[in-house]
Amino acid sequence: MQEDSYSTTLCQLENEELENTAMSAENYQQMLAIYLYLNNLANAKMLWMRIPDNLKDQNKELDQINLLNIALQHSNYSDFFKHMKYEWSEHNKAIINDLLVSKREELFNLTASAYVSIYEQNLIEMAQMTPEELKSACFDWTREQDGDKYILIPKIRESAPRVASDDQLLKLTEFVSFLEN
Amino acid sequence: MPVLPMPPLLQNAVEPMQVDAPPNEDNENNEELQIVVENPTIDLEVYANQYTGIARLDRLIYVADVCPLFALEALKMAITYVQSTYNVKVYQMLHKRLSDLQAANGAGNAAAAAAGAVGGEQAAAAAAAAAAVAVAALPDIAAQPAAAAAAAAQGNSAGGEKDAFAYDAVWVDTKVKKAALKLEKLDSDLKNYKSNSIKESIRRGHDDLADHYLSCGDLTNALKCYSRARDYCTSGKHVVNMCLNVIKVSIYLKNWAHVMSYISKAESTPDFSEGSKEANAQVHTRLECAAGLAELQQKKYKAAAKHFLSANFDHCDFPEMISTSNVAVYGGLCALATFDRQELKRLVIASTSFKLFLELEPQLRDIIFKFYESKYANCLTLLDEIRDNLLVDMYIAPHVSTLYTKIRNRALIQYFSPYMSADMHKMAIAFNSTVGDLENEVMQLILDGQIQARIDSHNKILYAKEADQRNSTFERALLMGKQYQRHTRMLILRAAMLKSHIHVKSVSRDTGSNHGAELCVSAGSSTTTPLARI
Amino acid sequence: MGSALENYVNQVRTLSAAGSYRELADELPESLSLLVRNWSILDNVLETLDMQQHTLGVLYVLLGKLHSVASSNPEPTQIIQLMRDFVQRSNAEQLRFAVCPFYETCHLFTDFLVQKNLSILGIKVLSRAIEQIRQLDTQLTPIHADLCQLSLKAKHFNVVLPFLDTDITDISTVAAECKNQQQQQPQHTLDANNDAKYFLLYYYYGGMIYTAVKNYERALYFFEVCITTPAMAMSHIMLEAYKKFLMVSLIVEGKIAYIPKNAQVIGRFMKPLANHYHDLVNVYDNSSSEELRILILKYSEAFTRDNNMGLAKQVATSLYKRNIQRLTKTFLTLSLSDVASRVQLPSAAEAERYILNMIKSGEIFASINQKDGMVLFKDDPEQYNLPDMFLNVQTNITQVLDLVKQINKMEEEIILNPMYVKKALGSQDDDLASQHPKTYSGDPTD
Repeated sequence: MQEDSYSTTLCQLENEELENTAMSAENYQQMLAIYLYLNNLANAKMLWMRIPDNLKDQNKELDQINLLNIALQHSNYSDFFKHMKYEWSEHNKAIINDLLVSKREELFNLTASAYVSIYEQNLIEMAQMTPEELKSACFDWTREQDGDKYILIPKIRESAPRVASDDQLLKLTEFVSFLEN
Repeated sequence: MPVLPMPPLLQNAVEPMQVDAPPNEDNENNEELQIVVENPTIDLEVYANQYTGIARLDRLIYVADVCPLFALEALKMAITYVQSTYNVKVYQMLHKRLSDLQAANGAGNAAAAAAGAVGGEQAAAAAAAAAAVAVAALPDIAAQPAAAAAAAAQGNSAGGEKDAFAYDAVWVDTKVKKAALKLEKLDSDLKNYKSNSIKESIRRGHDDLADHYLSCGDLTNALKCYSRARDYCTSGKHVVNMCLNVIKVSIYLKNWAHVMSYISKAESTPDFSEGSKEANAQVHTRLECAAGLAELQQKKYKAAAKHFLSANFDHCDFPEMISTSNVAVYGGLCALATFDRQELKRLVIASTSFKLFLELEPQLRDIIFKFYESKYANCLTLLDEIRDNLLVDMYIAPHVSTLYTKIRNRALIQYFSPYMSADMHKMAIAFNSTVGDLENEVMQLILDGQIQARIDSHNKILYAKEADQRNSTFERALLMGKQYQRHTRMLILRAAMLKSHIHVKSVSRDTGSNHGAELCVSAGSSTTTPLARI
Repeated sequence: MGSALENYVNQVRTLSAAGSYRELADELPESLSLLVRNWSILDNVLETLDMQQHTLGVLYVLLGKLHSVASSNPEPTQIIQLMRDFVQRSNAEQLRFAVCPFYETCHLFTDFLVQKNLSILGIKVLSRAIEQIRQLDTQLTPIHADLCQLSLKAKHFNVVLPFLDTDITDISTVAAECKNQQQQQPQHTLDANNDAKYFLLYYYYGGMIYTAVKNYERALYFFEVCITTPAMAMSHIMLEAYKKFLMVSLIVEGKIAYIPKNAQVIGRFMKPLANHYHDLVNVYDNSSSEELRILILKYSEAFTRDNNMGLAKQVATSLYKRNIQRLTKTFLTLSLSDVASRVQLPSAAEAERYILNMIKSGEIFASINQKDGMVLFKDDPEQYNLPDMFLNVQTNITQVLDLVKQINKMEEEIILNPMYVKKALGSQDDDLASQHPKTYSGDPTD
């Protein structure tokens, strides 16, 4: 799966960092991007502090990824999506794309669970999408009109119910039989 | 010496057992200084006539402290009364205050001062001035000329009544001599009795001596003498008498712990039940009233209420301590603040004995009934009306705010108890406050756990909320498990520490002292703390 | 190679071959000064020795090298490589005879790396070293503190966190390990306080690491261990730990966490020196964010000096959060502007942002209604009726039972210890009747 391949890459990169004094900027970019994708903000913050200053100055793309990092640290979705609009190098395109998709989904999930009603303008601002894109993303949400603004009323997506695993059932049966005797 | 005006008797008492919790006293007096009672509707003479002895003096002085309206009158009444006792010191103190008060009044609006009605700030200033002066109000014969001069200087402005209250040095001298004479006589009498070794007379001698001291205002010695009588008591009745006397003096000294201990001593006297029923009932009621007073001052309102409620009206005659209307007021208020509905009904409203007390205070009776009938707006308004009168009473004044808050909270809780949801607008009207204030009050009650509810601030509705037992049990169980694990892990670690003798010892370069300039070295940097020497 | 060094190599070779490691370990310390003096040819010595077979010998050469870095000024990568090879290939059995020199080597290595600003490269080395030398997975060694220090300097926590997460049940100290070698190590002044120092440092650094990854509860635990260490005098480590303890305590519990009474050093020495922090606690108690903000500003210099400014900001954030949580307990719905005014946030938009973040992290349960500008507070939807929760409870029960078993085992060990039995019985000398029941009272099968 996508995530597994990223995890292995991450492992490799981490090992290399521990053994090698000079890591290339691309490696750092990858590590940072993977940390963000895995939502490991603590590690991302530490990584940025570790990266040597000269690399930070020279490499624009690294800086850009860091802007994404800062936006996520402060839970600032609009900044995040703003900075996403950038010419990413081939090297990083895949992971950045995955990041974009996952964050979009996260935003919509959050909006669905946290908001009873939200102004369309505000959501557009947060998601940095065009109104058409927004409409297609939340097609099953109700849309009302309040004066000259539009309000969206999100629908909560039900999470799949979890089924008890076998050994849990076994434990339960043990309990019950113990209590019965 | 406390800075604030206190009953003059305390200035004489030097013994350590005098004042009960001085910090409390100071706080209460602080509030009194700031509270100026504007409109008490009591009749001062009737009020004062309910009491005798030092109780009357104490109360009048308190009234003079807090109520500028009655200050003048109160002081005058006190002076008149004190002249019938041997209490010279109090006389001097009172006189000084009176002249200061009159000086302050005279300096302002003379006519207004003479009429006895004083404007607001002036009154406050006067009261403050009088109070401030009372700081140095140690009876000082040297002050007499000054007082006399001040009195003479004002001879013009006020009317003839001034002369009746001029400083009577002759009276002072006579009384002092008389008191000394009497003291000598009693002393020698006592010595005679002691040489004759007749227990009964020695006991009586002690009592007489103590009574005389009391009249002179020397509380410490009075207490000493009463206590000495203990060794010469031959019957239960004597012991009880002795206890009652000690209780009386302790109340004047405000030593409430002492009062409580002697009450229990009196109650546990073996021959308590001898003597006529009539006398017994009296003693019993007396003890209950004293106990109630003591518990009240110690802020144990529920206990105080219970004590006052068990007083018997017919046998309630203690002008040197407390009046029947006092019992009604103290008992009624404390009960209202601390009893739940059942207790209120059973012990107060349906009580035949307490009914007689309540009839003396019809306003309080109305309040209690209205509260029981849930007519809270009325009840609270009435409470506000009698507030000023209560603030004039020295024993309950410090507790008025607390009791009122308690009563209000109880009303809120009781109001809401039958509802699943309540409209806060209606509730605010019922409680004479704005919705905003009510919201804050209710929020505090919810946080304290006295109401189980949630506020819907959008629609201004209060919803009752039931706690889900099952969920909270799970939560608590998981939390307990977590705490246990943490505790045990630390325990195991500690055992390992002790086994390996991990111990920070004081070494010469180590910081055994508290002044380390290198404190700011953060241990995250490469140079570790001065502990590292390798 | 000088003849003295040749002797050294021969000694090492012969004794190692004969397997008399104890003897070798006893004699090697004397050669240390020799090695230090001859730092220039130590590399040659290394060529003649094998790391696996002659672990002890190589260890002392390394130690000599590290002692002489000031004069030799070697290439850092070389030292790092040497250490890396050593911990990979050394013979654990042999190392057991020279535990203290091994610890010392690690300490010097750490200092060297920190100096050269190459901390990150030493992390793996030290983690491997710990695994080599510790006798139990749950044993604490002085090297743990070094590892924590390097991790903090390098800001890389992935390797050290698993070590920190393991609960310690045993401690390896220099005093205990090198009892017999004390008299033969004149130049290594064994300061009994050093063991305490490494212990305190481990917990102090550990607390800081947990704070950095925002695991405040475990950080609190670590700081608490640090400040309740038995002590007769105050140490700076404990003082700094105390300051951080106060702040983390506010974040986790909203007040000062309970400290057991036996830590008197705290009251006597540490409290008076941590005034700013106690003021912080007092103001936090008033629940007024505005006052807190002003206080932090006032003391910002002191906090920055102590490197606690970041923590102070976290404390401020936690007060806002705590106040919002209090609102959830009393209100069902509340307007956003009311929230802002009650919690002392600058605007309703700011309040909305805070609440959104708290909903995201699961700290409160609420919904925002932008149309009316209201927040609807909900109860914890956890019903404790899902398999996940069951699993959770199950795991907790198992953990607790494990702990109970462990305690029982420890108790058993002590009760069967003859010294304990003697002492316990000794105080009962006059009471013959109770002697027999006493001996059997600790029967583990009860």
